Amino acid sequence: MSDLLSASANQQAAAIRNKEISASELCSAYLARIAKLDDQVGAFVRVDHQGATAMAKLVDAAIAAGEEPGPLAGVPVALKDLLVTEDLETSAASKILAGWIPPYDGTAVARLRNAGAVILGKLNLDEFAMGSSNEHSSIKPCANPWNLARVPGGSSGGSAAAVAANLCAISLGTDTGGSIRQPASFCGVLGLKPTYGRVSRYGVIAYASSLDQIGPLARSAEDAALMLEVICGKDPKDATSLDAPVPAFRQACQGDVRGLRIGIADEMSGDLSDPQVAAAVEAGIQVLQRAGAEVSRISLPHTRYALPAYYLLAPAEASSNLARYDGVRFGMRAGDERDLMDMYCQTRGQGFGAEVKRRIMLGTFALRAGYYDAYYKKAQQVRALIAEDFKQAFTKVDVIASPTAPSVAFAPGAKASPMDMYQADIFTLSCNLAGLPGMSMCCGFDSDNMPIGLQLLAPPLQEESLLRCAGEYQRRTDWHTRRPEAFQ
Amino acid sequence: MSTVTEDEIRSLARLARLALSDEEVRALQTDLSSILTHMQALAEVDTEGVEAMTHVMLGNEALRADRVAPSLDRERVLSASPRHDHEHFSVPAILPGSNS
Repeated sequence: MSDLLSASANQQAAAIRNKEISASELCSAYLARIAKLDDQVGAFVRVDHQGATAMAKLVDAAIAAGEEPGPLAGVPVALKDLLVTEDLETSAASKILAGWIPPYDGTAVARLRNAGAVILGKLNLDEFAMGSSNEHSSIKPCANPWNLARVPGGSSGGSAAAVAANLCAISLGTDTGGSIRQPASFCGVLGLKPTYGRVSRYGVIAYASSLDQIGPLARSAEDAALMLEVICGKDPKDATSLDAPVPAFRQACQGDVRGLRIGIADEMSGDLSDPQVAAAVEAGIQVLQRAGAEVSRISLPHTRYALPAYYLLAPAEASSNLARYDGVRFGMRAGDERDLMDMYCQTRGQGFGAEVKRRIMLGTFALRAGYYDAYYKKAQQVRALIAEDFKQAFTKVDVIASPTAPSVAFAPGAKASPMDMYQADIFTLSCNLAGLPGMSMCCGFDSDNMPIGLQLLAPPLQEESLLRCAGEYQRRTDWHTRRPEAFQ
Repeated sequence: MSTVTEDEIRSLARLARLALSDEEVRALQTDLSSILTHMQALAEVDTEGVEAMTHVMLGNEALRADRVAPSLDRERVLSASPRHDHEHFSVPAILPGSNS
């Protein structure tokens, strides 16, 4: 059992299918691990003992009956609590939704269940996915398994911490401006944000609809690929989901990088990051170069404006998306029951946390008559220029490499002002603005033994290029096999 | 340099339907002013003639057929709301003098 606890999700799935172990045994082992270890981490906001156990039994019954149990049969997974789960509370780590029991599954969740995955529970996040450190969770803090006195990153902090501490085999997060990749970097795991539209957003609590995307966090490239094969694909319930064939992503991990063209942009280079981060990222790129990739310099002149563009556009969309939390249809209600306006304002004033209010206010400002052209429209035009920069760059290179974040994980409270916190996202934001697939993988550790992430971006629908790089890199290095000491 | 006044914060909060304490108003005034100062970097960019990008367009702009399909069960949806009468969501009176 201890071997299978540390095995990859692909190996676990194979062992269950070959009846070397039952799904129920593996599920119990993970539930026991969560019970023993998660108090220190705070990755889970809700453990679904009953649902997980019932699903594991179904998988075992299917296998015993000789039925096809699905590609994720028995694999213990966990979900960012932004993904809507039928009959399992979904809160977005917000007081305003506390206690909400959804009457439906989101599409990605439904696909996981159909594939036989055992959903262990829901994972911590910054409230409504707004944050880069998980400090904005209204439920509880989440710690970084590599150093419990540091943050796990955000907003999918619980998703990254749970995988790093091996409290699940694979998790799902969402990424609006780096919320999968940055916590993956901080926790030393692999996180992949697919092309905008690859995965249906039906049943994802919306933050910024033109940027949001679901993706996997895993230890190995093959495990992320396995998850992608299940969750990607057209969904009639999301008009923006892409009607593109879903490649054999696991096969892409076996490919090599000979002749692959890697671009390094001056505007997203190590000069903007901590020297130890820059050195590890450079060394990581050299590994791929030695494997046959070609490296060249490119320019993405407008990406330096990604931060101001993103922090106008995302809050503007959020201010509109979060208008639905008004005390009528779900969650909490406060204020004077005889006064509609008072009920709205009190519900929202009491239900939302500080960062969510800040972004709603910022978005309301940007969309307000008189400011619309100068802020919102201007940011949309800059977004078009950023997307065009990438389009040009991808005529010369196949992937673009950079640090995922300018630093390793920091301590709670280290970012004194909102702008300081927003700077943690400088390398990840432009990917979402352009709708590209992006990935972070662990490429080393700093002198305090904190993980460092290497980010790779690819043209739309070229996730396979990212997985080729990750597969090759993980065959040549062993960073991804390291475990935090307290969570061996 | 403050770019947003306290009055503007209060007026935005009304538009956003947010009840804020005086302390929150002051904090938001400081934060929004600082954030918006950084946003002014966008003014440097020449966007003359650039079309605003509202969405990522990768061939995902086709609409599905408009066919009736089953929707969520009313009782289950209502049961998740803070107040309902088993047929409707209940809200405070919308028009002055009417009952909720």
